[in-house]
Amino acid sequence: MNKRFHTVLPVLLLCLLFALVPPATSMSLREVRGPYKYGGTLRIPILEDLTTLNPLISFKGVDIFAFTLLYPKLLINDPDWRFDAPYLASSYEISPDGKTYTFHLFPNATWDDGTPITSEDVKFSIEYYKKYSCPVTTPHVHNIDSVETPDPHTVVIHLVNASLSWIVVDLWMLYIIPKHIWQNVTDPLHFDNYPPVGAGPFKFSRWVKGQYIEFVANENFWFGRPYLDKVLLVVINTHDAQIMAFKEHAVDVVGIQGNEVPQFLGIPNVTIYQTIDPGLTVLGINNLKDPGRDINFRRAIAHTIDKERIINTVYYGYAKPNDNFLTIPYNISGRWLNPNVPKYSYNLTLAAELLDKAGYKDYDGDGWRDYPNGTKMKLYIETTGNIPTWIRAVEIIADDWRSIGLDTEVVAVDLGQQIADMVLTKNYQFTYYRCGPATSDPLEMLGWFLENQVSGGLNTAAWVNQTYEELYTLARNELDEAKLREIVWKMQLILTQELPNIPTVQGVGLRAVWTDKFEGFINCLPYGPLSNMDVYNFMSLHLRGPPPPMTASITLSVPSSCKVGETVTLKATLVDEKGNPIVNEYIDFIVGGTVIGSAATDSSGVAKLQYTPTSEGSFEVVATYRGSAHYASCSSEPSTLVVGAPPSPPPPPPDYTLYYVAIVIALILIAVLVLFMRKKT
Amino acid sequence: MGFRSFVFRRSIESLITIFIVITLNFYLFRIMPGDPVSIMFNPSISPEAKEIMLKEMGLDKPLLDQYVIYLRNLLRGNLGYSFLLHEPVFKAILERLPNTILLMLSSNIIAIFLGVVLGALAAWKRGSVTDVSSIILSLSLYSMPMFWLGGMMILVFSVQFHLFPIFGIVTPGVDYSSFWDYAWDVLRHLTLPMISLGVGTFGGLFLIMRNTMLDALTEDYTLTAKAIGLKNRTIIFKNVMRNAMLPLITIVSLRLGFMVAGSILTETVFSWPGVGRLIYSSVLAHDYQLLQGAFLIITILVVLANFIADIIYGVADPRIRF
Repeated sequence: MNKRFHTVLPVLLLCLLFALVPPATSMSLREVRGPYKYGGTLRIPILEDLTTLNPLISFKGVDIFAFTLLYPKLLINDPDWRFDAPYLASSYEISPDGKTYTFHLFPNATWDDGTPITSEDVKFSIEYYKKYSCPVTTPHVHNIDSVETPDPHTVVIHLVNASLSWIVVDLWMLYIIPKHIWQNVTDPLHFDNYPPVGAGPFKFSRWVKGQYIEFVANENFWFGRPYLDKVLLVVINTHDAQIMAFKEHAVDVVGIQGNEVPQFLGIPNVTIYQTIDPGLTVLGINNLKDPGRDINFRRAIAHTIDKERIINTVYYGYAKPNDNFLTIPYNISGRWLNPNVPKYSYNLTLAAELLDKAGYKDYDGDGWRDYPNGTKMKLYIETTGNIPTWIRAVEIIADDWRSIGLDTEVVAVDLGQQIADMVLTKNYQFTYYRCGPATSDPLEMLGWFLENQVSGGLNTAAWVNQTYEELYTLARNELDEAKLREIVWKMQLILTQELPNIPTVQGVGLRAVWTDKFEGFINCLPYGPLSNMDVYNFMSLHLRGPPPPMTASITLSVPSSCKVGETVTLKATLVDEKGNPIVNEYIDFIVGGTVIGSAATDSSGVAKLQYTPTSEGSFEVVATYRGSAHYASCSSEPSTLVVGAPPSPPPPPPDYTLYYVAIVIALILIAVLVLFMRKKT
Repeated sequence: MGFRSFVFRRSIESLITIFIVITLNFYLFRIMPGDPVSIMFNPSISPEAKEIMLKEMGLDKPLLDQYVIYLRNLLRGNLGYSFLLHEPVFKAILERLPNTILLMLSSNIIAIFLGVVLGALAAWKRGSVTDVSSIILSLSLYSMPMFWLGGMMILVFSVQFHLFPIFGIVTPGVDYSSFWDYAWDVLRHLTLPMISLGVGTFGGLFLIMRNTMLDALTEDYTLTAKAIGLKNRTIIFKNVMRNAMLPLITIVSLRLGFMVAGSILTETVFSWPGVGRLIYSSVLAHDYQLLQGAFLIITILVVLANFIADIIYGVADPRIRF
């Protein structure tokens, strides 16, 4: 298949790159900031309306969209699916024994109503979840022993047991709620929390039930105001309508399937992002029933899964074969995949031989294999008709099974029925389903195969292995990452040898976006740009084009009065919107409506001009800045300069000429007299 | 039996019907495999979280206790609390009811108008091109799957010709400067679902109208009307149609009664947030309380509609005596 994309990050290359590069620290939200344009409304389609704005009671994916935008956590998941990126906490430290976590909060963080967020809110939240049974958060505070708040921006959390995965598994599930709102709520399960007071990149604006929910940019978000003005989650109930709405530019992003890619390739300004689904799609096997309980049977049918055919036929090439019980994204977040697990190639001849060896032969000659004890064997693979890819994959598997003599029937049931059969009643033989993890903690997925998950949990295979249980307990208490990795690899080995279920393929998530209006998309793991767990795209997305000039302001300083002919200094200070001086830009000074001169700003942003008024009166003085590519024009507030009358001229100096003449005449006369007197004597 | 006895008897029957429906609904939804919590196949949901939710929903109690609590709450006018929407059932339904009534009423008006008028014309011109083409048109539209018809209308009128919006009741994010701007926006969004539902469902009414008209046209009074020289239009619309419409009274009343249930397919295709779509979501989520509440309201309205139909029938047809 010829796959052409406008801009696509080759996923395999990405996987390889991250497999070789040691894990780095999480990416901060500040790294997505830049000199970008503000504005625009982003419209995202959702299949179902939100059900609540109370983050403590709902697990629905669409509700989590709203919670992600509205409610802070101490740390969040970054685009590489690492779960310790700064959010409400700017940094944190862990004590050597792993039991004490100290978080430093951003000092300028505030709730939507302007109330500062402090360590008291964090402490209150944790204690609230301990006091009231909130389904989303309460299960995740049991490992917290106590919380201290040494100062308004420091939180110290003491754990009961140290755990390497506490941040991923427990802390990440804890929303911080405002104490001043929730302290009066005594029934959180019935609190509608409307309108919500949160603290995230966006604030709640309005919810038109069944239609859309609108969020507006939070001007006071401590990472900076998002570039987008608004985000709209628009309810469009069918996938086809979403596609049509996308093509009509009624929405800006849409999830698509493999068979739909060709119709998007020819559209200008559309980019398709791919990510690997972290979920596990398996052929589920009931290990409590025959023939699933027979490990030889399971190993035989592991060779009957034609993954390439499923990928090409069902997923149109947009899937990857999977041999493991962890999926590729786990290698990107933390190198958790064991590369040495046994692989079961597609080989029907080998599968038939293994079945023969295990005793599954056609004893009664009807063309179908029977149980080893000779009884008739009929196999049923159950899946849901709600999801076309599953049904089609099961049909392919059933075809191959029939070709090697396994009498197989595909049973399509309602999704609820399938889940009930797998989880509650174990009333199935084989099943086909996908389950996705909530976090990148490998023990989450590996924990699905524990004994305590058999009844009502995710161990749909009802498989129990004592060694595996012990390894899991060891892993949960292990604080050294290298050692933990060893244990995780061992657990994968056991699973791939025992095959309680058979991994098949991992889908590739596809998301089409319009790039003519917005830019700055980040292809986040695990679900691509603008998923319900993604904050980064909401902070990085901005309108295309150069940013407009930053706003500037001028402060003018003039003496209140002077006299005609008296030289005064007019001073103007030019700064940007953040108060930083703007250097080397010219300011025009206008007195009485006339531009009297210009001066350049110095390193402090100050421009000075000497001015000598030549007439009396009261004059308005204004300083203006014409603007530049970087800064918008602005003017100062007018000031008034009162110019008074010129000072009286000093009296003319007295004229002493006559006196000088008289003195000279007197001196001459005296000289003549003296000479006359001398001559006489 | 007089009118009063009739009303009394029907009232008792209605109450019994409603009680049976309440009980059947209560147990019927719980027969579905799984419960609202167990079908949440989500690794984020710990066993403890499931326990909390089960307790909050009251599903940890024995079934009989749940039934008694439900009946007691009903007598107090409390339809329960929706697991799915985390709000009272009555409020959830009430929020969507105006949307459903708007869509269903407008589309039913179209369907009734088309069914009655075309049915009358087709019967009058039986065997003609008008008759044949009306039959073909009505049956074709009636047999088209609603989701397909709706999808095609969106493709043609919204995507191709950009005449109407693709989804919803209003344009997202718009602030309206006046009520008329809002009304115009709603009308634009209403047009396609209303027409697709109206033209897609008039076929049944058309056939009934045509058939009853054909019967009425063979009556003696029709021949008399023709003989005395009345115009054709007068004969059809003033004489024959009035008699032919009697069966339609019941059908239309029931249609209006079921109106509250909405149309799941149309609401889904056009993303119209009505009660139909709500019921569908509730089924998927096993939201018993919401399903019970919605079906109770539908039952009451259908029973009421049936009752009113009987009364109207009695008024419209003087031959009927209670």
